[in-house]
Amino acid sequence: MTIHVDPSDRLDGHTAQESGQTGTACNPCGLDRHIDHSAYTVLDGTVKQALEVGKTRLIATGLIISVAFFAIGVRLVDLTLLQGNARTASSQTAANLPGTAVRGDIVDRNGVILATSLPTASLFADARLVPDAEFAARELQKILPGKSRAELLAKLKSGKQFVWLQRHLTPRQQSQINSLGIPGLNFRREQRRFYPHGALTAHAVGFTSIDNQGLAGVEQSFDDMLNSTDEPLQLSLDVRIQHIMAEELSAAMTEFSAIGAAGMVYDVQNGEVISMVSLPSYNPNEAGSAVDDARFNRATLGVYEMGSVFKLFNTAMALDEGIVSVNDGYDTTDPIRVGRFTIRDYKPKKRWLSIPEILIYSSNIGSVHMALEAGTSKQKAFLSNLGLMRPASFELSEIGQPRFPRKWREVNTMTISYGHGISVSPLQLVRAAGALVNGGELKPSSLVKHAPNETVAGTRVISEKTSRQMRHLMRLVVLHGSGRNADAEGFMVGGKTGTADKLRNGRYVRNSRMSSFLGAFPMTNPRYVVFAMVDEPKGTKQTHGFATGGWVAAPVIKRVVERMGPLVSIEPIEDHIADDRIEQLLVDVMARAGGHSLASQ
Amino acid sequence: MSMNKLALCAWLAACALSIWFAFHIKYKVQELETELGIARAEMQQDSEAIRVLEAEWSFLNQPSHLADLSERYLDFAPLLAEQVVHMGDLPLRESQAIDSQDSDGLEDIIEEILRNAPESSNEGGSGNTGGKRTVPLMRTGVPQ
Repeated sequence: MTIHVDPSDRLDGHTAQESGQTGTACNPCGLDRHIDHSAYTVLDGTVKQALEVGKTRLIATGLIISVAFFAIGVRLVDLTLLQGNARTASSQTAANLPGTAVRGDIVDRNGVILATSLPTASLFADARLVPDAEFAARELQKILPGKSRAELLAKLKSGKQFVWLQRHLTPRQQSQINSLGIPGLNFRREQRRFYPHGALTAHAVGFTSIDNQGLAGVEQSFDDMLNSTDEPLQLSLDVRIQHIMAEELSAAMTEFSAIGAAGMVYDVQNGEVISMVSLPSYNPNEAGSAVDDARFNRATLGVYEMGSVFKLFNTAMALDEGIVSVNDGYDTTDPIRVGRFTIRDYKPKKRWLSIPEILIYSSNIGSVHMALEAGTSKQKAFLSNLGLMRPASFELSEIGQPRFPRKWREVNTMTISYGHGISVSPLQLVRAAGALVNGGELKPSSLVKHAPNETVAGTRVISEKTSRQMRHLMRLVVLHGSGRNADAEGFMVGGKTGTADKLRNGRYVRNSRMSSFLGAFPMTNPRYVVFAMVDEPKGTKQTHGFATGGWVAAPVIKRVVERMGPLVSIEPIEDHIADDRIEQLLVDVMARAGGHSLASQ
Repeated sequence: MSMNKLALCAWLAACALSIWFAFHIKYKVQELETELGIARAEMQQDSEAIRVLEAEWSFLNQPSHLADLSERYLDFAPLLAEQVVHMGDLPLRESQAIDSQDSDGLEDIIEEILRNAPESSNEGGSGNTGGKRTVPLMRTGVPQ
């Protein structure tokens, strides 16, 4: 195209100049006029002279024109032969065709599409051109069942140049409307967001408005990026594990008639969130009709008192600060009285308990003693280092603000030691737990997949030694304690159960609780932290009326680990060899504690 | 004079040729542009169709849907930890246990499997190209 345009531009320019010159110098060949208007008298040789003048002018003009043509020729060769290739090389490929710019896809860690844009047609009217609004409204109403005739009529009679009648038609509707042949009705091509996996990844992916503006999830937090490139955004989620977690959680919800549940799988090496489930969920393809409870992301936005799972952090603090060693312990015979509160154990042992036993039997009294010996400031600093006292930094805008006492009194130190009086989100919890088991480094949590060889820098929060001890303690809880139901054979699950009474109007309500399990596997070299939480479970006959973390959430973890282990290529091991070594720890502790036990009796 | 006429003729011919050539190029370009337009439209249609198909593929691959299909049509169950065995833990056949102690055993095992395959036609077991073998790889329908 440029080839055609350029030379003609040039030609015009030159001829314009030319005509200007010849205009002033008169017509070079018009000898008659020349002679008529000249002041010369007709003499011998004047004709010849005039011819000479004409000839030179002709030559001059010819020269100029040929120079101009030569220049055009040079330019032509330049464009076609010399620069031509460079221009054709930049021709468009399918990916960057004009008019096909679409909002980028969102895919999971294996490239499975979680959100994509599909082309659709939308119907609009130029109301000034519609000849018979009554007829058009009647006919359109038959095709568009969602619209009332009055509404359509009002729009068609509005006299506006542009008015939407229906966005995102089905192909059938489009062809029906097309065949009506009503003037003034037009289609506009649009993109519509589609979520093939629907409710499964709804809270992570989020949804968009009808104009493709992100309103929730990564659709919102990566809105600009998704609109500017059509490169897919790869999340760290794995739909298969997401499905396993969702299925097991919803089975637990049904079994225990719970009102909600949340679950996470978190990679302790690089902070990636592999699964993030919040139930009940909603269908993002019809996000407008979802209820608020379903849209609420319990995994990141909800903050909860986590109960006994906090004893892990409490123990890690005491061990890391050197306040106790695993061989130490406390007498848990007497409940602790603080003002009008009395702190008791759920299943009192009424004897001296070693540190491993305090976790195994989930002793509140032992945990309180540990926290009191460490002191308020150390506890506060430790929890803050674990990122439990500020909102998690995460690629979602639905992030809950943790709640903790503004004035941290001694009584708060006591209750926080066993997970009451502080509320955190499951996301914060799994991230902190990751630091306990991965060697002691707190990694930034991420919902976007890292490059395969990328190492994620973390900040050290506990020593490697403490981390190793915590792994052993967590395994012991599963082998001997309340977490027995989470023991997925071959995968060395370790963890801690939690059961927290729910606060309602500032009072704890019995029989309205949060049952959870916070675990990691395989304990020989932890790769994943797994967390499951069930909201307000009710005991059943099979569980003898219990609805505690050990009965409700631990079996979920067991099944999730069993099913996801082979998927993530974790080789099952004969755990008894590794377990024997860990059990030896308990045996040693008990042997050394013999004296204490006697003393307290 | 005839020289001049000849030159004139040559020039006229050159002129006519260049005019013809210019128009030829012009029409050729127009034709190519139409073709390009059609090709682009087709590409856009195709890429849209691909988007729709990819979305549909992802939709059909919903884990819950696959689990449902697998339950209905296959004998597979989730893999259990005890089904994963190290190569070293596999027992050798008694006859070979003595004479092939230092071989890695893998070839023997494969040969064994092939030999026990229902329609094994020849004795060699290796290098056979014909006939579909039904080697029982992982029948996990009923846990033992």
